[in-house]
Amino acid sequence: MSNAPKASKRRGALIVWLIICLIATSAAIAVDFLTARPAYWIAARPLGRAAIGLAAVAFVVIAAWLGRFVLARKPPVEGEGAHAGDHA
Amino acid sequence: MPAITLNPGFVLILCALLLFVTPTRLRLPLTILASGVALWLLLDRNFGAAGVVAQIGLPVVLLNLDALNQVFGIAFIAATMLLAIYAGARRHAFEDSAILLLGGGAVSALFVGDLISFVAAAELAGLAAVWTLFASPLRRASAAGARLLIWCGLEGLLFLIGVAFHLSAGAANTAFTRLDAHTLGGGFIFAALLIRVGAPGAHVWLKDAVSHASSVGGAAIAVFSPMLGVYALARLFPGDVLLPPIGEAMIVIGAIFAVADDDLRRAAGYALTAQLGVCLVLIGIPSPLAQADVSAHAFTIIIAFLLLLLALGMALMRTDATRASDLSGVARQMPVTTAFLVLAALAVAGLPWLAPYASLALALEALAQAEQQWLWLLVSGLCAAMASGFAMRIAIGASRPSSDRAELREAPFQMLLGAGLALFLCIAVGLAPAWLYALTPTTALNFDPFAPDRLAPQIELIGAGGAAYLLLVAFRAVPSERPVRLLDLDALYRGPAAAAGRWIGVVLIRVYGGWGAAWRRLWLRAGDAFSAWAARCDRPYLEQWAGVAHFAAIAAVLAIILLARL
Repeated sequence: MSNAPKASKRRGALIVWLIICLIATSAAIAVDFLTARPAYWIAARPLGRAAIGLAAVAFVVIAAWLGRFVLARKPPVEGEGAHAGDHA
Repeated sequence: MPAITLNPGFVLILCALLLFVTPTRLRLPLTILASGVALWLLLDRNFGAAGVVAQIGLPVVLLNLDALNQVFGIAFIAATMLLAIYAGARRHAFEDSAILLLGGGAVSALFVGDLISFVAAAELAGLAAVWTLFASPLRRASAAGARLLIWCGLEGLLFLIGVAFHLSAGAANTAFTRLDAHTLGGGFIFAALLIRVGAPGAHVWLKDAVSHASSVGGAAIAVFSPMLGVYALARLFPGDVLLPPIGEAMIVIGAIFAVADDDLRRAAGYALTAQLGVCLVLIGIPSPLAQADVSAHAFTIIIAFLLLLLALGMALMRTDATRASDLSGVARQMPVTTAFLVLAALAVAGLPWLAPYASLALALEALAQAEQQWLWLLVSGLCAAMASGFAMRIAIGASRPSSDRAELREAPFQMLLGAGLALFLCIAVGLAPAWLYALTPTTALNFDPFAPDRLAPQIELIGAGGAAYLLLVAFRAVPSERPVRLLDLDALYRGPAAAAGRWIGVVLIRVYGGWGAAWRRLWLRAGDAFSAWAARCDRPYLEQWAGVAHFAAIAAVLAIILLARL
């Protein structure tokens, strides 16, 4: 009972961001196909930048997994609460 | 009316000293006034050198204004104003003074025209950054301050050796102009500046300082310290072939840690390292477009990272942590802060209509013109990586619902105002970057970042990257957010190297103690033997043969003395 609304809210935010990204990408790809492009290297090809974006995400995910697997340690108990005290 | 030839940074330094004796209510007006005067001194002058004096036979140029330092100066002084407004929400005279001294030292270093004055001003700024860390109320800030002090000392030592070697080539060589990194003096100065910008190996100081400083102190250190290094590299080593590979390494290291680190202030430090890498790459490309974009990119990332760290500071203040795994409920309870955070992260990723896009588009153009394919690919990929692994992570993390979090309020009005003004500047520069291009050293810069063939591919890049990342999150292909601390190079000198140092210290102390005890015992025994001998001399009748021998020895000594005197 308690997990269902949480999951749906989280998924709701994710879906909103996904829709924004998809609309922006679709519009940009449409412009990319319609305009004559004096672009450079991979970007000169249709969907070239989208391919770079996908490759970068693959890099991000691999880096995140590897970072967590190889370099992650349990953080010390920070207790940074002292910070709040100096504000008016 | 004679023109005033005062280095704008000196006004800020003077104001930093005055802040100690200024009542709390007057600190903000005084800082704004000093920043305004500094800005006026900067803009109300023609380019050129002034205030030249001679000290110990060396020329000291206290003010040298040109297009390069003007852009950095405007950004630094604007940042000083925004930091002062943001910091007005809390009372901490020492930290206010340290931050203003940091800004004043950095601005002074921008406008001096000789190497010795630059080193002095840069080190003043470095020590002020250490002071800012010591003034932080966060735990472990003092240890982080000590570590930064070591980096600062190493940098200062390299600077001094470099300047000494450079001066040994000729006393007239103190001008703050182009140097050769392959000479001995130039090499040491180059190494010192690489520490300042956080080159690979030295990159750890930046995230360490940013994550341990207070909310306003972290933003100040991030804005002033490494950017001064970027300015000096652009001034002293433009087109140096060593810089692009170093910049590449910074981009890769910064991107990997920024997308993987759970602590968002550390991640912001790494993201800044990646963007500083872009600056170094541009400095290393010997084309007018790339050289012009160095100052433009530095200006835009100063604004973007100021906004990001101020927004993270507001989250830190209310939630006591800035972990991606601990942002649950922030979007619902602190919507303004969340909007600032997401916009700042998207700005760092180069989203069009926000300031960094204007300089990143120019950077991509410069790299394309210079036929630097892999650098172009790396900078393009950095935008997508930051959009997905940093901005989307914050957006999704803040949107997570939380049932166990106490009620959160937005940060105080002055903090919101400071961050809001930074956002306004970020959007204003992003929407109308022509005036920024006009300020760059290349005067005839005619570049339209909003041409469809530049705008659409950038949106395509970021949008496709963001959508792919979100789909991977939906399918749980991305590691779940949990509180972790990533080990970096500093783990070596804070962990095993520090333990080895402690062990060696203990051994040395014990060896020293043992040596001292043995030496003490030796002298005690020698003293006892001497006492026994003296006692026997006093009573020669106790042992017949010994008494005769002592008497003969004393007689012989006296005879030698008498003979010698004759």
